[in-house]
Amino acid sequence: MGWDSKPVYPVEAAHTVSVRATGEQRIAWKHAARKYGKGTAGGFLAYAADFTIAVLKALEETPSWRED
Amino acid sequence: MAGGLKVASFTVRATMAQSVAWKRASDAEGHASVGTWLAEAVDRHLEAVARSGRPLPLAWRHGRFRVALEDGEREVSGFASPPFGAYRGSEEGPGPRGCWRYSLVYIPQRRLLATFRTYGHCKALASELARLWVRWGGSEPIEDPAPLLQRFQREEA
Repeated sequence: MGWDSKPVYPVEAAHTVSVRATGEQRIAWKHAARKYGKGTAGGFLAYAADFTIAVLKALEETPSWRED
Repeated sequence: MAGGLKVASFTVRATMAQSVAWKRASDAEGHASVGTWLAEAVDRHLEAVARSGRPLPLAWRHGRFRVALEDGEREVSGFASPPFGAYRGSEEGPGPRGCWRYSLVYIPQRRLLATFRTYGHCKALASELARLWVRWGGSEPIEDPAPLLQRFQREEA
């Protein structure tokens, strides 16, 4: 591993999930992985999933944004 | 996915915490498997990015701010771009280098919004949430955050 490289996954990432994709998704995800600097499409998938959950959770847990 | 289509397979590695969170979201949205939920979440994320353009480039600087932790409120050191702050650590408190825990805080309420594996994730979420402030001229928004939420959800139609 070079000086500037970072591991895509934490060392405790011991579980695996299989994701099927169409050809179009495969191209889009690989392109996004490069754009986001994730190294692999799997790394990008994990990032996007965590991000989606974090946004939903943050919105759910910030009720003041709904108050007048 | 329609039958007969050529498909590719990806393997995503996850921690136990990620597995649990993804399974919960998958179940809540009625998916038969975590894999199909993951595919949809990623497509949704990419669509949102494409629709909304580049995230707002918030200016971050080193700073100290207060956050409500599990055992009480305390001041932490990290990066700040009001009204957001980010620090290395979790709801348990500041963490050591290499702990893979970085938390985003809404400073006015001292509320921890989310904990990620990198500062970059915290800043990305802050950029998304900042759109609400922009629409309200820098004031805390009173509008419903549904538009932001909807960008991350499948279009019902």
